[in-house]
Amino acid sequence: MLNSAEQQAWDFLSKAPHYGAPSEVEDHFGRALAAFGYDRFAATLVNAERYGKEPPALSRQDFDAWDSRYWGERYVVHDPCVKLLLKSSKSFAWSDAKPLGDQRAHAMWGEASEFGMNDGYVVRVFGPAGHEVLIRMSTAANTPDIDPADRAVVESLATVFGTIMLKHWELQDDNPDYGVISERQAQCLYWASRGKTDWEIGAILELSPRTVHHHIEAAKKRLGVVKRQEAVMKAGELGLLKAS
Amino acid sequence: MIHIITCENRHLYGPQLWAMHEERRKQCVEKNGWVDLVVLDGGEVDDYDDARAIYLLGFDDDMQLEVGLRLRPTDDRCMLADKFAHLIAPGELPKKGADVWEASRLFTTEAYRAKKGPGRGARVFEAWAAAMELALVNNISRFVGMIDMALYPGIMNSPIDTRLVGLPRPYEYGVVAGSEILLSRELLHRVRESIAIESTIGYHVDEQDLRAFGDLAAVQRQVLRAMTPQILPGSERDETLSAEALFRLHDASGKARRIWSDRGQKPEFQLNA
Repeated sequence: MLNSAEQQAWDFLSKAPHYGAPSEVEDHFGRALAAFGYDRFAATLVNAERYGKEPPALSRQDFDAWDSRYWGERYVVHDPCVKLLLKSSKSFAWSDAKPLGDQRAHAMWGEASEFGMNDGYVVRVFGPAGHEVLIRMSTAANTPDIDPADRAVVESLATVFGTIMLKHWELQDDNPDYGVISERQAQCLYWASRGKTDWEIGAILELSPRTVHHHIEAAKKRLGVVKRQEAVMKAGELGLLKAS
Repeated sequence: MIHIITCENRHLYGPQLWAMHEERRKQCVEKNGWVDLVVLDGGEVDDYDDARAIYLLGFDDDMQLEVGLRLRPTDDRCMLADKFAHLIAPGELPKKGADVWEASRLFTTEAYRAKKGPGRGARVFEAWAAAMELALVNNISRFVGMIDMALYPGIMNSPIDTRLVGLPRPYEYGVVAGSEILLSRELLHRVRESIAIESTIGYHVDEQDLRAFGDLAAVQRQVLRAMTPQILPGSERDETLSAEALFRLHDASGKARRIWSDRGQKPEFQLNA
């Protein structure tokens, strides 16, 4: 049988792919995470600048004050978590990073404590189009010896959360009310008309294959057709196909 | 094209199956570090590599292995349900049954992953599409299996809806979860669309094919030509052999195979006899 925290987590993991709005995903993720004692979280697209955009926060809950202090004090130079991030793609707890820190890092942990953040967990999610999402979670509790089973669940919650929030971020670039089909839908159909697969279209447009699929499905609905080829032909007839 | 290898045609694939077991050792034991798996003569083998196992293998033009997937009926044994039952949440549908196959040991080879250019990334979905074709013909409604959670973002971004069947749990080398794919014609259509393929992808080579075309590489060439839509410019196509291969490819009743195997024999009746 699952305990109550595990039940919350299972609810999120089993239903998350079907939640509609990002706020709904955030809300349920926050509740599932809280059941394991983590009351703050932030998901950031860390390598977004390579796409000519500010690194956006995909989601955050009570992390603003600490981030402001962190960047103000330039703790990034001393933060041992950064060392771990550069070393491996694996998830880790703050307690894993603490022994690697210097005196300034020690001061940083002290200040984090004053902000009510005594321990935390960092998970990285890599999107298929090269995006990287960093999910940081923190707790007021001092939990140096988190149960490995709980750790696995927290890591999985963050992985699913990061993946879904990234998908919503990719979709938000698109304006669904623009014309017969949106610009992104037109681009995806254009490349589909050139015989490209979802993966290849994703590589061209820097989107995940699933997002490409989503755009093409949406275009099919808007054009009133069932098959992808029909959508391509109809969009072509209407002069809607465009490469960029 | 994806080769479907069952107990009926396994004898035609000796070196290829050896390459598969060797690749599984490289992937599972050396890359993933699952050192507790059994390695026999340099190849990774487990209890589920028995007569009921179905292998789906994809090769390049020179018959070098590119992708592999194993399917197995679960009406007798199931790795997920028998050995990893703690990955199944209470209240879930049984993971063993006549309509459930277990999918495991999915891999791509390093040589394939290093390839660049068109078609890259599609082979895995070709293997899944072939698996779905075969399963739907056999009235299978679900695939079950296990996934490393490090791979789950990629799975969530794929056209195949894969649901978790329980809470992920830690294991020695990461975090693992039980998973399930509900099969349908719509799902198969979606997967085929995502890799820009319209026709059947899986093919069960038999001795008649080898007699007709020579070797596995030649059979593969013929089947691929039969699968190539004529509208694509510049595609190679041998019309006569393609027509025959295409007919045999869709020969659900086995009639074409019988005609081929009975060729040269006295016809059952003759006009004006």
